Amino acid sequence: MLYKRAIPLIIVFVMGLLAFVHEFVPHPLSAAFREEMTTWFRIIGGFGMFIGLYSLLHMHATRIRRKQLGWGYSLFVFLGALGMIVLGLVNEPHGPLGSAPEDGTVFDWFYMNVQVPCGATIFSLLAFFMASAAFRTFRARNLDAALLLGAAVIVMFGRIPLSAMISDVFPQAADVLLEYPNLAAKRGILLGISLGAISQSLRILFGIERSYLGGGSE
Amino acid sequence: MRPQAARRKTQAVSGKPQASSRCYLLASGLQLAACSLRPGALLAATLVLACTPLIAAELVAPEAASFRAYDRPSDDGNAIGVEWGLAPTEGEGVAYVLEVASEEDYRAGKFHTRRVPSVAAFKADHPEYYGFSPALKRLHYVHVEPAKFYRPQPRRIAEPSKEEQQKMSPTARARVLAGVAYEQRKERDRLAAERRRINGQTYYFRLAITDGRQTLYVSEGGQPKVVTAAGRPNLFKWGKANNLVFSVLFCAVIAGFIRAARRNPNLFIRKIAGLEAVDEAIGRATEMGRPIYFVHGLGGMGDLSTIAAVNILARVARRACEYDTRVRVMNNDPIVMAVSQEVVKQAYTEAGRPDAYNPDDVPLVAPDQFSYAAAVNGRMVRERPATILMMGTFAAESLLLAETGASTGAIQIAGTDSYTQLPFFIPTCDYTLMGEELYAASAYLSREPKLLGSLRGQDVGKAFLMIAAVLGTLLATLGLHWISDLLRAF
Repeated sequence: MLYKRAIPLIIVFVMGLLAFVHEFVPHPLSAAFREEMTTWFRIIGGFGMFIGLYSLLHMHATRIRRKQLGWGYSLFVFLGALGMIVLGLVNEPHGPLGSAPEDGTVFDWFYMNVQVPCGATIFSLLAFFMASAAFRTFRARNLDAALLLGAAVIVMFGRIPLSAMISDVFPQAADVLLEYPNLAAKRGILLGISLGAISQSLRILFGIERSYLGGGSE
Repeated sequence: MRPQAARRKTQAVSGKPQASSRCYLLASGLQLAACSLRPGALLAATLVLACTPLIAAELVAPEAASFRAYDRPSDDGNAIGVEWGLAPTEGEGVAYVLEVASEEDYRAGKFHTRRVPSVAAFKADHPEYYGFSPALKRLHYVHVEPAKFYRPQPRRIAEPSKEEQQKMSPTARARVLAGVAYEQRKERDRLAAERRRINGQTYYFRLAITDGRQTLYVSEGGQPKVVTAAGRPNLFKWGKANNLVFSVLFCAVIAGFIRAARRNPNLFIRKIAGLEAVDEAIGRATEMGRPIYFVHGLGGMGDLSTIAAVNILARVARRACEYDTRVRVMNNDPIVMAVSQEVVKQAYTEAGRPDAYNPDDVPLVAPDQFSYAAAVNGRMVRERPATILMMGTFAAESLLLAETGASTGAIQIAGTDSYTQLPFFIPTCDYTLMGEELYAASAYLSREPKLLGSLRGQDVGKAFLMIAAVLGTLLATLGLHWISDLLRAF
């Protein structure tokens, strides 16, 4: 288990400690070390993308082979992936091995006119989901929910132009709610997150928490 | 008398009249009054006389002893700090002129200049380097980056135009562009090294005060005082000393509780409802014969919340494998996917069922945010999982995922440190782990004394911060800021 447990733990400890020290050392050597590590991280990420691509295509190939529920969608994955790979390699009008895909290439055209609008469509669904979630949340079933409803009505009304046209009190009330009780709660959560992050980092750094290596902690 | 001597010298050099402005204005006022006895003229003369002391105040330079230059502390050696005391004649329209020269330029008598308004640039404006002492408010301060005055000359790297590139064969083009990229990187490194060399040299500084009409040098022995300094890389950021002390103290508290937990494993830890429900959620999936979805969110392995999520996944996968329930992990990042695959595989092996592991259950769903949301939503609707665990870093896709999950009737437990997404998870999920509860989850689920000890230490740290916040607010209300200064992060 040396290469599966001991060596990764040593790497984690040394790198974690160096990253911690980097925060307090302004020397250029420290910055150079950080840059080198970032470069290595990007290189490893690049290899990771190949593994990810293999996993994605393998999973969808299995779905098609076994005719699993919704296998037709998997065909689109292959069509989209292969189509974009071909367009990227051909790289018109720069040609193969030319400049990286940028404005004006066919690859870019497909990205801007297929991928981006599809993403925007999914994003726009958020408005409807938000309305349905708000509808469920803002039912005044008890005192807490009633307070939440009252605060939400004030903030929502204070954020629309009509409220300012009626009276400046509404936007000001919304600002007060956001800047004091809301900010106080947010900062409380942030403080908890910071302490939790330190505690978690220590557990990982000293090898107390090892679940991320696979298996239990011991 | 030194400043006056310097002033006389400056005025002599610049060829300005020796008579002071005060005498000139006084004479003008009297002349006006004498020439005409009209009331308007008398009023004008009175105004001129009344304003004379204000307009014609003589410039006085700061004390020569207070003018110093030194390596700016806590930096990478790219700046020199220059400070001087306040002069009695400061105000609007009065400015300082700081002169900078390299050794070569100093010998040739050439200086670069920097103008500093006398009502600005105080040492107290830089607590990250010099702390919060009230004495710093009585010192002017600027930091000078020599490489901005003596810029290294960049070399031009020839790059083929688009037309030239189109004429080349693909292989030749790739070779040429790779060569250009290599040369550019080399040039960037050379410029960085050159900047370090320039900053590390000794520089000469002189200081003068001016009101636009006269200029007065800070002088010593009848000559403008010259101070020298060079930038040096430092080994410690003193502005972060408070962070270091608190980090070390907090680490010591956690280490103490871990030791205490070894001696007494029955530590009391407050109940976290979301984590108590994990077993129930796994049991529900087992009873219904449907899979458990583990949704990682958008974080990479560099995010602590993703590491915490992977830790939870290890425990959930093992428990689910023991109950013969499938766990499907939805990944957005290939490295997170690789780690999750290894973790699930190991959990299945430890549960005694390595054959049950299927890598297709831990796939990369999509690396793009909304493609990921669409793909996971589609699978949720088709497969209708009994349990959905959403753990990690989330952004705008949180509500898309949680609302779709809620519509499938699955029991949902979310955990994230993305506090902007918490309002979306709370109404749509059955349980939500907020902030540090996500980090605590793995320790809580394992019930291992050492891990639980660290949670206890975390709670003590939180209590300390709560006390500091209340005390700091009270003291700040009374006008005392030392607690907020002590906890200031730079």
